[in-house]
Amino acid sequence: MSFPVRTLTLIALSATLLAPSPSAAAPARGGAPAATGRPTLAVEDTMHTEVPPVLVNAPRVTLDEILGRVARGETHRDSLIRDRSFLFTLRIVGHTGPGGSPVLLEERVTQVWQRRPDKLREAELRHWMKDPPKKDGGDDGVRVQIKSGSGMSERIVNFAFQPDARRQYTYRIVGREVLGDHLIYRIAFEPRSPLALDRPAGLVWVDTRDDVIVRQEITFRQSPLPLLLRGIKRMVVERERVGGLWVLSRVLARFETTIPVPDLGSSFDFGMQYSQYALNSGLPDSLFATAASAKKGAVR
Amino acid sequence: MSGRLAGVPLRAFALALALAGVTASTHVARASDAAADTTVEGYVRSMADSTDRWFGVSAAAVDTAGIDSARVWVLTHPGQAPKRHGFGVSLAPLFGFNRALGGALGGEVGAGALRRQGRLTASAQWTTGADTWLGGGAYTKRWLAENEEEIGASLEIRAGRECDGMDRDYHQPVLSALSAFVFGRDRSHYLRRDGARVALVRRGAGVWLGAGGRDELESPLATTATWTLFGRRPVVIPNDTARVVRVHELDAQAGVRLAHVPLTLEAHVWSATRSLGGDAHYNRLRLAAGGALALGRHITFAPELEYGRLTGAALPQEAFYLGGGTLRSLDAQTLQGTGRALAHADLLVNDALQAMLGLGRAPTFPIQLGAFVGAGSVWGADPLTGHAALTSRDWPDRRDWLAETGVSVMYRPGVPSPDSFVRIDYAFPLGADGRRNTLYVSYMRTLNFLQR
Repeated sequence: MSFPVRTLTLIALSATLLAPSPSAAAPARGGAPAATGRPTLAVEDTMHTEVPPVLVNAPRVTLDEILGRVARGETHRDSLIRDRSFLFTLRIVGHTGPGGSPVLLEERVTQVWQRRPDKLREAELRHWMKDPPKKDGGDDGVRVQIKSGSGMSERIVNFAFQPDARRQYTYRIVGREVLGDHLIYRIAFEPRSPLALDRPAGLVWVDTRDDVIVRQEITFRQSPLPLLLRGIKRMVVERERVGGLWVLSRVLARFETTIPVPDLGSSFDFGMQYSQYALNSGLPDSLFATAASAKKGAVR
Repeated sequence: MSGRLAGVPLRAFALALALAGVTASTHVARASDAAADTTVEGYVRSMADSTDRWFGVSAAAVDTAGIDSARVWVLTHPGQAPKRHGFGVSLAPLFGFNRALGGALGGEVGAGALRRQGRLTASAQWTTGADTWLGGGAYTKRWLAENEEEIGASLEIRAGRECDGMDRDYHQPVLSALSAFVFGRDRSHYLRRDGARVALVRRGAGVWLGAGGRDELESPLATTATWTLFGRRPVVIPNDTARVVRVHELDAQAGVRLAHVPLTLEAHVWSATRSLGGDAHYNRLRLAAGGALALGRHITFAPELEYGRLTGAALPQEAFYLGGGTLRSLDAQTLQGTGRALAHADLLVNDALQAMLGLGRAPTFPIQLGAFVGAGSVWGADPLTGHAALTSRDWPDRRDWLAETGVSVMYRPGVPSPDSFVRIDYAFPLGADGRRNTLYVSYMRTLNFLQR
């Protein structure tokens, strides 16, 4: 840990030379004495120096490699989730066009439990409608169903970045942003075929530390269903970080209809929210037991 | 709710409390994550806040009042298996019309779901002109691809008696029936098929493969109806005569959408030999290629090619036809042969006409304009009758080619096919061969030579 004396001397000398001299700085700050009555002139005291250019010789990450990393990152993210539960809210709001006053038409809140490989339990906790249909029977109360099939891959986020989608879309980097030790890439994608007017284009934000998509905005060159929809004015897919993993948090879309529809108007919103996540909490078998199996004593 | 809780088993209630605890601990974990990673989360949250402002009430957080108690009740009660909707039995009427059958009235009953156990259908139709029954049964099953969105494979088994178009490649039964019934402008020719067929298609990422076979007796149909809805006389009265033959046929198809070039290639081979037990002996080959290229943001160039060849026997029901969708300036199925070569290119304006005229960026019914140029030929035909005849030539003579150009006005409704257009084409024939300028109305995809 010896520090060469010559180096120390050099540093001290440099510090002495670079430190502003009180005698030299005085005129610069105060200017020349105004004995002559002439205006005071500022004196430039910025130190000029030049450093030799440093050639950084490192391979540039190609778009192709980024796409590969995103595909792997999404697969990895998916593989880390063994089970999850969340609150799913579906909301339809009518009359969202300019000048209209938005009206909540329907809200459905459902608790969802999923466990690999195929366990799924859904319980509708609340279903509110502005104009509920007349029921011939009484209130059904909370409805709970056990189903099979529990996809957790969140294709609505990464559909354009699946390996099999590379043939259908073209990609380009439209921006990079450094946030602390994170690098966020903004990648635009659009259908490779100009005739694929029903397919979406979009923009995703990719956190390159985890190589996962953290946000997506979807656009359509034309309405995917021109006979019924004039267009989709805006569509946003958002994720949030829960337990170290990015998970789907919201899907919001505003649709414009070709002709005004009763209740919906000529513009309506469709929203899906995913909240109150619990990941990898070890959901028990008994949670997915049906009433029939519980009766037989299958609950463990 | 409290009454329901009265009968809750202790074990189930403990489970509810445990899961509630898991949820609470997860929220704690979220808070600590946020503290450790505020930069990215803050960045994403700021965009989410912007989304909140834009969507307003649609993006508001859910009101959780009462949710927790409902969840506790749910956790203490076992769930119900989803209600079975039986076999999904459905009934549907069937209507048809062409000059060989007259009206075809009947119905179809179906049961099952395509993506689960498969769907069984049975149909029967009485034909008013031919005074006979059509119908049969079918089983169709589809499997989803790995992405759980697209169809990964499909199987179809069909048996019975049906009326089909002679043009195996471009016959559109619904549009033909509508055109025949309302306007009398159907130019398709028809035959009857009795027997069974099976087809299996497997689709992957940009690749698809298919195989099939059939055992059918093909027989001709005569014209029995010359009336139309508004009393117009049909533009074509006689129905071409199919040859009576029992066909035992195998077929295979393959297609690929190239990864780095906007090009799709397809090949389809049909083969019937007497060694398979039938009367017919022929080999039929069809190759197609097409793609779309963006010329800037406003123009799309969409060229396509097709080559077809029939060898072995020149059955009219296996021939290649020219006209209509293959060459607009020639009436549909005007020419036939044992060989066909087609080239067509569309130049489409991507922007809606209304937008170009400054009538709004998102018009209610977006109309697109286009122009096209095409050429087609069939060879291997009897010069006297015009019917398909065997030939050793694998390529047309220069004089066999017919060319055209034209302009198009198009509207894409999005249903039933997401990428098909209602097209009004005005075609100008190139060359002095007796063709006239033609207005051609159709509903088809831009790259219609490609079957998929």
